[in-house]
Amino acid sequence: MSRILFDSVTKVYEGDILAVDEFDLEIEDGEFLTLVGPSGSGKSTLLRMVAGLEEITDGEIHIGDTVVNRLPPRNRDIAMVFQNYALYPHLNVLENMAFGLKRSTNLSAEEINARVEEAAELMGIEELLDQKPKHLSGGQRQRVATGRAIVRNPAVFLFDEPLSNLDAKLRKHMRTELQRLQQELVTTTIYVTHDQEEAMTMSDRIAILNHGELQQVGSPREVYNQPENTFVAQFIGSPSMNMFVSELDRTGERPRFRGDVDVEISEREAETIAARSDADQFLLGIRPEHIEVHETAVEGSVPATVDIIEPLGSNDLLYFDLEDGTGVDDVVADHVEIGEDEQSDEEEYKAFILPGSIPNSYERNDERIYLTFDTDHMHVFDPETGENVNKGRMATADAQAESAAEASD
Amino acid sequence: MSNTTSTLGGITIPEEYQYWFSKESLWGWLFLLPSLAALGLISVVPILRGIALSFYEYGGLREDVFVGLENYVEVFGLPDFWVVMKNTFVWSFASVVLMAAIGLGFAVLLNREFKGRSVATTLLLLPWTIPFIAVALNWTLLFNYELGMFNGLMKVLGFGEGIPWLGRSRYALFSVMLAYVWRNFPFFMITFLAAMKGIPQDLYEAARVDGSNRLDLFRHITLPFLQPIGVVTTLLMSLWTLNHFTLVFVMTDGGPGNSSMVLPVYIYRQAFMHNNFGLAAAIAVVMLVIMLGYGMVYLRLYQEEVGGK
Repeated sequence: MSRILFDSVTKVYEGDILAVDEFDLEIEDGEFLTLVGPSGSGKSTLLRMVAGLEEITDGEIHIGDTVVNRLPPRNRDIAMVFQNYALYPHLNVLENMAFGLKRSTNLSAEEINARVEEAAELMGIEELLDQKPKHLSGGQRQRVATGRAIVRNPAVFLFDEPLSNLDAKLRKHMRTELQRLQQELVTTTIYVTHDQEEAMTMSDRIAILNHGELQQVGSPREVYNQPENTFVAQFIGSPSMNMFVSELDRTGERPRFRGDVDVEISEREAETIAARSDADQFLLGIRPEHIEVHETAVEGSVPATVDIIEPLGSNDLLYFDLEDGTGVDDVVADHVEIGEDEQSDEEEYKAFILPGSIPNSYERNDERIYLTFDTDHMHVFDPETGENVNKGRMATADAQAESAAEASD
Repeated sequence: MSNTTSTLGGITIPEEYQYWFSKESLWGWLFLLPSLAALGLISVVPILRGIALSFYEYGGLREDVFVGLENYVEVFGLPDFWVVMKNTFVWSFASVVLMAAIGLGFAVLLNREFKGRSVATTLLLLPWTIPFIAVALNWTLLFNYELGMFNGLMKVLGFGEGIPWLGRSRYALFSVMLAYVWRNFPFFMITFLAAMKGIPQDLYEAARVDGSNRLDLFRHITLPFLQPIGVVTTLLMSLWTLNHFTLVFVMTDGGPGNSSMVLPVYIYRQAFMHNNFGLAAAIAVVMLVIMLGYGMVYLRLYQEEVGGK
């Protein structure tokens, strides 16, 4: 069996650089797990420790029932696809694919050829078998690299950013192709990427890393809908989640948030939040698709101005400014990560709108708009810890909605 | 191009040659002229003079006498000549193989991480910086029967009284070769090391994941990457070695007998010791032909291994 188990795996590089800190994770047999995170998050280090290309400083990695810490790569029954493909330039495609079989099996030349041809057919590269890598296009090289991995029929596939050198269109295409391949072969796969979209679309589960620490593991839906902290909230999803600063006000008749966003919440919600955090101000996370944009003020709406509108085709992305928004940076503690999207000091607020729904505003900046927020999909983060303090509420709301829908059917 | 003249002194120049007579082209030639002239004077003229001389019997103060191919007939008839030819090929082949092997070995060692690596690299590179004449004198001392370090070591270690390294036919060529190899192996070491630094690390990683052990990595990744530069440097070094004069001349002068005699020293002896300039010129022409052969193979391989890709 090829279950993979990380048991408080730690990697310290020379000079006391902590790359991975007590990482725990179990990957099921046949699962497609993606390690995602910004550069320097330790995702590649983890993959290379599984491959045996990097020593494990502390903890254990199990493949199947074997602790592999001390095994050389060749004894781990793994195959790896490298970011730059690492094809042997002096060998043709056939020899590249046969290289591992020759080294690691006792198969006869005919058997090896048969297996290479089979894998080449699966990857659609039968025509290229006698070509040298330098004569291949990027996409073809990628296929050969993947073919070289699958031909060995290993217990585990390791992918290290395999699509990052391809252009956008080819990348999308190869994405679905790799997915299809994995579904067909049902081989345990660890896939490393910095591209959250790749992670979302391909994986059974995603493990999000930052600074060598595991932030959250879950299905793409889970990590998207129930991010455990601000880092995950901002890293997963594109465009990223909006963060508004608001104060929880429980003095009135009904509890409400006041500040950038003005919304009423239920007493129960207020209690949950207060029970999990003693902060006054909170970060309210709302994804662009959960903001409604109106041209005139409606009940409970928040005024804002149009910054720019990006036409995306099926819908447009509207960037807006709040009248007197509080900067997120002023509120959050230094150690709280609000995502790598945060490149400028200024907050970027985004909302999806239907194309043309704000007439004339393509030309005119500073147009006044009014926003309402879907509070069912609102996340409340503690600015001191970055943690999501109302996680799960939304899930129950979803569940309620679903059961209601079922009942009415 | 289009506004340059297409005729030269009334002769119409075909379009494909017009560039030769364009202004740019003429300027180019003009700038090359001084060095071409100097090169012609110090290189082409003597070669032509040498070739011419090989058809004459040198007369000293009297007139040279044209003798046709007689010098060549004499050369190929000399028993000495064939001994020298054999020595020259043994010398150039064996020392190049030794240098390449030792250079490769050190390159492999220096390519690994260890403390003091840069010091080791510098030390190993040092022989390459020493002039041949100094190498020759030092190694002559090292090989000295009475006082030399090698015999001293042999005595200390109990291997008898030592060997007359340069004084016996059996050892002389081999001993000079040792000095030559010591002087020149860094050339291979440093070129191989540079080539190794250019091998992408992920190829080694891919090969390791693919089931390779250390030996596999060396054979299937390192060696193929060193091949182009290896072929070119080996041939280049063969050429230099065929040509090499100093060590043999200073250390043994080809002796004892002709046992360590190589072509360049032999030519020198024929010309300046025996005043057989015609004969020496004929031998030199034979050598020139051999070198041209090497040179052509070199250019061919260079293009295939390095230039063409």
